Amino acid sequence: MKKSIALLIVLVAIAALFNTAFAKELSGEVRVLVRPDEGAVFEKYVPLFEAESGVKVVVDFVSWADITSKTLTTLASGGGGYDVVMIPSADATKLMAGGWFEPINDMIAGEEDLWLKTVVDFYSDTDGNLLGFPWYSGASHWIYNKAILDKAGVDPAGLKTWDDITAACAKVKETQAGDFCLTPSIKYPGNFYYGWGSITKAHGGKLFDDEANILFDQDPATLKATKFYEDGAKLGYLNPAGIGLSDYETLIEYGTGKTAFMLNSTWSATQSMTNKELSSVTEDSFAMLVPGNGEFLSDTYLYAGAFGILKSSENKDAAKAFIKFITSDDAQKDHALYGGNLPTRVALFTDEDIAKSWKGYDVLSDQLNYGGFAPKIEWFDEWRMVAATAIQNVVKGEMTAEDALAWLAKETEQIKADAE
Amino acid sequence: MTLRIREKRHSMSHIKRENLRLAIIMLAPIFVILMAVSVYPLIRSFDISLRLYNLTKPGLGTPYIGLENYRFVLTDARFWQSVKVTAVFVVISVTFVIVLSTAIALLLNCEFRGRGIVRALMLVPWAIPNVANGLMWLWILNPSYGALNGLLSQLGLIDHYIVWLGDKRLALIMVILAEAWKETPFIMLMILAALQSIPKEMYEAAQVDGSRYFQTLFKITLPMIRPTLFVAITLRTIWAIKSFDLIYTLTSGGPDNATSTIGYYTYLRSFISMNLGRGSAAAWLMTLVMIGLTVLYQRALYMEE
Amino acid sequence: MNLAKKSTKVRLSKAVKKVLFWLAILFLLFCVLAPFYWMVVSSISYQAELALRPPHWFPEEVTFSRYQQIFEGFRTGFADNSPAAKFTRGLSNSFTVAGLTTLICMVAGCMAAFALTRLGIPHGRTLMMIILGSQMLPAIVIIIPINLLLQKYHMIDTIQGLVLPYCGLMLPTVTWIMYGYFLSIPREMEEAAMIDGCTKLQSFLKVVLPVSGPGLVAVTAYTFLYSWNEFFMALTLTQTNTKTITVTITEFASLFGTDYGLLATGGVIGSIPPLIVAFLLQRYLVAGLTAGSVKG
Repeated sequence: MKKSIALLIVLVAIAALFNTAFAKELSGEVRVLVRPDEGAVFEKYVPLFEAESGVKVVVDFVSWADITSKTLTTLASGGGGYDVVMIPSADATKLMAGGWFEPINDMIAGEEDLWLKTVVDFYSDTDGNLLGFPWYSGASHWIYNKAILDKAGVDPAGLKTWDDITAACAKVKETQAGDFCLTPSIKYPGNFYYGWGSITKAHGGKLFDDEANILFDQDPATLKATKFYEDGAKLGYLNPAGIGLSDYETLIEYGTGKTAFMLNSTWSATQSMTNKELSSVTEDSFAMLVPGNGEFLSDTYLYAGAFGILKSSENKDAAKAFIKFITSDDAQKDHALYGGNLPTRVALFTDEDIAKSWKGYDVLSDQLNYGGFAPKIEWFDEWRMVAATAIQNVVKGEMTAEDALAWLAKETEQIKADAE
Repeated sequence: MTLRIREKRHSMSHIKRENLRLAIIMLAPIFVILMAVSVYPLIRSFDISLRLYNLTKPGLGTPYIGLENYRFVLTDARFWQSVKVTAVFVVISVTFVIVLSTAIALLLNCEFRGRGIVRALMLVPWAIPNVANGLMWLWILNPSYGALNGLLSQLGLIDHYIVWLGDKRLALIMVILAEAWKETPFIMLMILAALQSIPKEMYEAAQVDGSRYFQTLFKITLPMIRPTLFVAITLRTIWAIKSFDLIYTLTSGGPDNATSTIGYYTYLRSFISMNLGRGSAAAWLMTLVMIGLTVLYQRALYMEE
Repeated sequence: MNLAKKSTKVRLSKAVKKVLFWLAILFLLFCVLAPFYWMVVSSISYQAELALRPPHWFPEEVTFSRYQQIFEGFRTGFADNSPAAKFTRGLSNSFTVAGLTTLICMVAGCMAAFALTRLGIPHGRTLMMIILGSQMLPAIVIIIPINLLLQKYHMIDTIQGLVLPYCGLMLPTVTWIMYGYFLSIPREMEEAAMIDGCTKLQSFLKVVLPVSGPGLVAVTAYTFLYSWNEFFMALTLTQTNTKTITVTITEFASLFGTDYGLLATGGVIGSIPPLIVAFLLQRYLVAGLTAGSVKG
């Protein structure tokens, strides 16, 4: 009896040893869920990683418009066998609240300084667990059409505050240098990042405090930003078509060369300056920092993407190794060059190769120093929908700025109460 | 005499039993399939609707909370708003599509040269994938360089470009039109198939009677295809209530919730608020409405018979 | 004299009727084809030309670069995962899934509709209502239970894992349509056959089914196209192996935003197979109709 027990223990011990020895050697398969935007970089780096590690990587691309519903459904029903899932910042708060992701602080331990701090902080939960490994970053940027401003007699170097912008808009209208001053996206979801949200932040507006209590209804800066919409629509500075346009469509609108300014994502900003297919004004378009309110130079909303490892993953070590590989210096550099997304490795912001081949890279990456992420509120997405409605009503002249903010505050209380 | 009656009874019940056996065999496949992929998810979603099922609060678990989710939905102003939108949407959309389909079917039921080609071309909208359809309409309705604005202003019908999806009423109309474009061909096909099965003699008899076109239409044609019309109206109603894809792509329920149907509300609660319990409760309420309407239609159909 | 007057009036109104008829047909065709035409034009015009006001209804310059992009030039080419391979795989998956779904739905649906209309089942109509009721819940709500079920039986990303839910989705409608169709076929025909000594099943197969041609063709077309075009379930239930063409299209076309040109291209490519099916079945339909077996 004793003999057999001893034998059993020895056997188990050997098996365990063998197992741990085996685990150190990476193998098996890593399944990754990402957007097709990552295609170019993945095409180059996945085969390299496979050759180096012996791990097979299966990449599932899901389009930008559908990644949220795909990810949510898959996560809510057990993970679907994925190991690595991309977490766009717009969905991050909701996805991170679901408790599906493995904390990966160990992956960044000791090299925190190498990464953009705002992004690392954003992907950490309240207990300090890092749930998403930084991949790319971006911001809402301000682009101007120099030809239109010249015609209107406006010097872009003098545009520092929103009052300057309003004055410039008046001149553009007066001289008929352009049809409109700005075509913001006033549709959900573009209205927040590429419209009213970022403009409010740039006015110094405060939406919520840290406990998700409403600040915007008593905040003069938010009111001023909303007034910019009210007056802008009345005076014909703002293109009311924005009510029906997504951020991509406002890029095309700007690209026709009849609008003086554009507020848009890093990718769109880049396209307006470089892609002749999408923009007829590449030569005249330049980036500048989003104007500030006089007290500070600039402010805007940032976005990012990160890779999370699912708790249900059976191959976490390989997944970690893959994430490290795909977010390496070289891969991020290529991602920046192919994809028009800013890196998350600090060292790359001063990279000369990128700066050389990317028009406006200095200004675009500088914008990251003047911006922050959206509030981490679980019902934030729902709130953005209602906020878009409020601003649409302002632009259509159905509500004054004051009324719209009061109405939004009332709706917000409701959403908040519903979410409890 | 008594023997005879017994014999007859015996043979009748024999036929019935035979029918029953056949019926069970005939219904077995649909039963098995629907049990696995319809009834099970149905029961599961009903179960979810009775639970606290908030994906953003995994710490709370998923305990049963009775009818709390139903109470929430039924007291939610946005739900009632979406009920109102759905009612308008369904009434207009169903009427429009059914009348249009019947009219087109009657037109294509006439004999003329090239009828085959015209009928084939009618099917184009139906064949286009929904994904492409939604985006195609978004593109056509684009406020700045969309084809609809371009066409109408070239024809001199409008003097400035219109933000089709920016106005509450217009947005709803556009969604209905885009959906009608996609859905009419199939309904039309159903009605056309029914029209073709009407015996020609019936028309000939009517012609002898000297009935006029509309008299024939209302007295003979439409009554003859009533079962098909009933199926068409029921299907259209169910699809219209469930309608989601197109609204999601075109308006995301906006502007100002003007196109937020119950289908969209369900999406909002399940995927944007991530509260599956409330989303499922809303879906079940919606299903009850659909069942209610179907029963009503059925009553109306058989009451007149 | 009176008579002559009357006859010209009749002839005139006939001519007017004819003109009105053809105007109606032309208007109809315009409404139906214009949006699709615009999609085709959008797929072959340069982006700059697409953003013109007023639009160029006929493109001045034509480009096929987007088609090229979708078929070869797109940069996601893994060794065994090149775009062209992905596209053909998407097409073949769609064919398999849509074909199997259609076959199963047709057989099971006709069987059920026959049982409900011809076998005198008590509460047949109520049963029909229950079957119909099972498809009423929106996909958004049942998608998670279905996902759970399929994950449990390791059927995520398999052909059967997509065909089964599709059958669940479409069987009720198929049954419902055939139910209505069988009801509208006069019973006298079968009764005659039964007097000749056929059983219920035989009379159904020999009499009812052959005259149900148009209904059957419509239902086949419906099931095939619906499963070909379905998106939401395919999105969540497939991964890399069994993605259908609609999911593949959005993967290619929505790179950074909604690229209308590319989507139009994907839309045109994705529409071609269902269009062919629709056209083929339409001819079948016309043939079935003109055969005129249902004359009374």
